[in-house]
Amino acid sequence: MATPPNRQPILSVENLRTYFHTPDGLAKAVDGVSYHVHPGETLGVVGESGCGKSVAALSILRLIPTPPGEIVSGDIRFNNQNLLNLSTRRLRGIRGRRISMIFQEPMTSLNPVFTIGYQLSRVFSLHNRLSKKAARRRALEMLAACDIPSPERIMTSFPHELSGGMRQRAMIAMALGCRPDVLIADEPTTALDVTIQAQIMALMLRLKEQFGMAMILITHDLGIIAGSAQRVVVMYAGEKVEEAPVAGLFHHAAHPYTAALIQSLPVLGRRETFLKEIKGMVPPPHQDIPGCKFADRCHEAVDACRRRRPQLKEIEPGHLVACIRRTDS
Amino acid sequence: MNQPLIKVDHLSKHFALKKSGLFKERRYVRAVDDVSFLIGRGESFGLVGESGCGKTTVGRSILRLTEPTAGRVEFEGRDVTHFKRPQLKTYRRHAQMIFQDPFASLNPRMTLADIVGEPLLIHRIGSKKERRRRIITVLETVGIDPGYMQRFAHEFSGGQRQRIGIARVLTLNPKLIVADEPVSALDVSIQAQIVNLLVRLKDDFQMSYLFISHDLAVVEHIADRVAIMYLGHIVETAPSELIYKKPRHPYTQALLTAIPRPDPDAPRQRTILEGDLPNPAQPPSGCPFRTRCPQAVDQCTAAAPAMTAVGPGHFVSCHRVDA
Repeated sequence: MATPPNRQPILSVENLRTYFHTPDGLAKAVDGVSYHVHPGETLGVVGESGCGKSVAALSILRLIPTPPGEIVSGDIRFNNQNLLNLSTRRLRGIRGRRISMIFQEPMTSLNPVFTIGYQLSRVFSLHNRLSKKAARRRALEMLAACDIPSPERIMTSFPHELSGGMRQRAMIAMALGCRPDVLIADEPTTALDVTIQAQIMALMLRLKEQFGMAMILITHDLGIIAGSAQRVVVMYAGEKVEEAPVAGLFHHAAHPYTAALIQSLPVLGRRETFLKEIKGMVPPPHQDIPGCKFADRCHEAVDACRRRRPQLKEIEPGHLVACIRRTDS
Repeated sequence: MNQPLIKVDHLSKHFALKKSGLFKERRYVRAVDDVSFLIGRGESFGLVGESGCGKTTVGRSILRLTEPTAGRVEFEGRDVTHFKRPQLKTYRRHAQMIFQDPFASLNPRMTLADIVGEPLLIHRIGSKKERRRRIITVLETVGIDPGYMQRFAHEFSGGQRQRIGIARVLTLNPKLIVADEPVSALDVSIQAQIVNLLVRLKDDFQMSYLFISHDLAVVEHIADRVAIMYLGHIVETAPSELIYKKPRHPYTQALLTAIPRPDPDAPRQRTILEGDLPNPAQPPSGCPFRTRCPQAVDQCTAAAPAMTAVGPGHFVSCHRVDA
């Protein structure tokens, strides 16, 4: 499970800061986040709504609407180039081709007025300079690879004619058709029912193996992370608070937030009278907090936590945590 | 259980589809098809199923927010489905609803005091002073600072709004709360807060819940008994400890294995159901689940299975299950 040290990450995000200028003030949606993913690896990024996990992912491909958003600083390293310095033209050669993305709601990602076949073939012909015929053939192949029954019929269907699960399969077919090196999946199964969710996760993991891709899997669902990621990054209020191999995270969660999050889940077959709750709520993104952003909800917080921002430190090989209660003793 | 609080008896709700042509026959979606169950006093009954299975329609039919096509709903022995307006109004004092989306279910132009106090106003309960006192009490009960009474809904977070929705329901001291996916729009850390609040309130006020959700883990936690719905039918009912330990219907079994476990050492998914939910306007013959069922045989196509008892309080509707 541990990655050999000499292996180069295929994609790395370094000290990324993405801010939004809002009427309420400056919202530091992503505030100094770093993570990386190795070839063939699945990195899970987990956190609750507003923690910045999606904004960080969108920043990778520079899909942040500017204004109000702005990537203030950081490096996005992919194949020895910094994506943040690339010309739009060169970036277009990477977006959707070398690094692909799938989103939560397939209905809003697909164009409602074009057939699935047209949308898929167009992506392939643009990116791979395929002829119309070859692009169509690739689209059919990809739909079949995504377990879509009777792909010929789906090619001529419009997005609204498909079920949520089928739409997400079509999105996956589109995202993987150019054989990207990295797939960013942002809550890919959140909008789906559990039985369909299981189908889609199984499909994604199978295709990831088959194509040897790296995957960044962004979700709020710790269950999905446990079943598919090798390494996990936990985000809270725009910051990375913990990073660990998946087993280490679930068995020895170090950050009080991670531990509380895992314990707050209702677990099947283990009924207790009350769930363990995390009191309070996430601080608003434009609030300037000098110390640890979780301190007000943390039952282990001391005065020092509120004075300065905790630094990430390695407590085990590959296991990083930003909490002075764990690292300074 | 002596007299149940709610008795749902062969309830059906069919929605008419638009005719596709002048001489074509009108088609119907059988959102709920012959559903029966009881909810005891102080009992929490969980209704679980995937989207489109009819669980919300059952909840709405019980409160007569939709008119059932056939069947009866009894509240304390009286047939709700034939209530006239004044009776219906009294009934709804005792039976209330919490909705899924706390952003859509609170009026943005009303203050917190107006929102929470409105049920009292509608039912003409108490003087202005008494109502105010009641509002303060329920707000404190759900953990909202009564000092915020003059604020508007948009000033609160999702979890707080859901608390406000619960407070609004509590003002009337209802006997039954229909909670339709009350925590699915919330973040995990907030979800636990609301689930705990609901568990506490039920015990404190001796209320019954119809808890509608797609999340078996949450339902197992909060419900005393659980019914699993598929395509308008209840396929299995059992006490909640049993539904997890001894699920008998193949759909329940598949549903349980499909839930991702927050445990990296958990065995990976064993049975992944194939295919999609059938079109509810053209349901399969026989058993509704047979098109996706790994154990289906010819008999399942030929005839719909009947509900059979497989244990105390445990009922399954499946040809392949022996009593």
